[in-house]
Amino acid sequence: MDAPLVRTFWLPRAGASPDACEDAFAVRPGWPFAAAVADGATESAFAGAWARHLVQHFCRDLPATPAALQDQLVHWRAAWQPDRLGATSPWYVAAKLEEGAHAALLGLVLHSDGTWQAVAVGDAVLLHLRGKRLLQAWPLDDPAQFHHRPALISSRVEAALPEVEGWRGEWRPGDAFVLATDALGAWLLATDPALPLRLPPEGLAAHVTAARRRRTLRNDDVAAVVVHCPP
Amino acid sequence: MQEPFGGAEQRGDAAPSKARVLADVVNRLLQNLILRCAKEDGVRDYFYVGVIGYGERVQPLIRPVEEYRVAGDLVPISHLAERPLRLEERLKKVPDGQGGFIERRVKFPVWFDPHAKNGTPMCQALDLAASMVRTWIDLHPHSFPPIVINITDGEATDGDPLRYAQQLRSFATDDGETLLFNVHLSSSEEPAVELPASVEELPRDEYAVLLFQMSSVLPFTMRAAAEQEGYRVTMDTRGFVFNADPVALVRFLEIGTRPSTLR
Repeated sequence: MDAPLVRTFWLPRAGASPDACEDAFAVRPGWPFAAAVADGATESAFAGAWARHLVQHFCRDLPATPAALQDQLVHWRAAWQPDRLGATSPWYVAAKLEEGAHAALLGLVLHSDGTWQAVAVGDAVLLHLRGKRLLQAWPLDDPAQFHHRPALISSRVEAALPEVEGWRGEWRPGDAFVLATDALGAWLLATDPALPLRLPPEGLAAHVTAARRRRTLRNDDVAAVVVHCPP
Repeated sequence: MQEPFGGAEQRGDAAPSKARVLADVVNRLLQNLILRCAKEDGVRDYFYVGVIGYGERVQPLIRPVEEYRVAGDLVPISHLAERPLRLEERLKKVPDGQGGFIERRVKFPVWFDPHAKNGTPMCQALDLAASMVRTWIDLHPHSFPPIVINITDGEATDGDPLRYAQQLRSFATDDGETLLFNVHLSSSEEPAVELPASVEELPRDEYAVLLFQMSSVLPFTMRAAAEQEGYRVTMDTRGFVFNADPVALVRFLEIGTRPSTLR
């Protein structure tokens, strides 16, 4: 069977440079297929690096259930090495390192037998579409549910393990999935969840930029992975 | 900030406890505000900050260098982050991951030391704050409105501060009126009160009632943040804190995604 086709998309918040983007995505091609998006918290230091660490490890280790993700998080935290502190680092960098980095994570695993599994901590959303119609959105399905204090994964080894949500289902040939970080996910739910299926990345970027200008889309980093299941 | 809070100029144990509490509160407020803006490569200038001391004199305590003079005695928060008076080592209790706590040495920035008390010219201080706020609003008419946090032991010695508070709050950006929050560090033994919605929640203290009346109602975004942190809030909840930690007042400012573990 052909592997899913993938399109990825990301855009830093308006006014920020591309290397300041703290949203991340990763994809594992072939079967089982995996994709993940993560959203580094604005108020954490090293949040972008932690988000990239999470999505890369998800696509390597494929922990597709809440228990499996919690098990893996112990190892991912142990492997996390943010920049070592130099002797001249300012006091606030030391304090932020002490607080740890934080990110939301959404991971999807598709199996060739027509099943899929997803895990999530926080407010990145998974949209399951069939024939351009939204079947389900998860873990949030209403734009009003998004706020500034979602559940997040801490990088600190001694922090409690987060509660992980799990979901599973079946996909049919031609189905599509969209994994989107919070600002984009909320906007798609409020407008047109199938928009990323129709547009190339530059077209989606133009829509996002225009919506930010109209203030219908919160000015935040955005990342998305669009997955087309094989026909 | 009410500069003169106790009765001695010494630092350390010889300083009166209230003066030390006041200096500590101001230093911790600034530290918290800076940490909310700090990233691995520096501090983002989400805020401009000024501090007014009032006692023997009423004066701005942060002296902006020439390049910031245009902001009306306010400095970008990164400027403050880079220039504490000194860094002190303090012991901080942190979770050990096994359900207990361990003590860790942390660097605590100090910008202000305790000073002696001589009168409480709160009206003059509010008046100076109003002029700084007006300059700021002229330059940033579309911003989130300025926030003034008045930290005091309660009793103004130069008139009725309610009128000055009302005047200060009347200056507005497109996004709303200037917010005045009051922190009452009383010497009374009354229990702490945070974010009251009515006079009935206050201790029997005429200055607490006055400071409550002077305080702004929390705007929607801050109310929502307070609610998410477990505070009971209503449309009437005011930015007033009596004998309690005022750091929550800067925690409720929305910058972006905030880790719940840092609440």
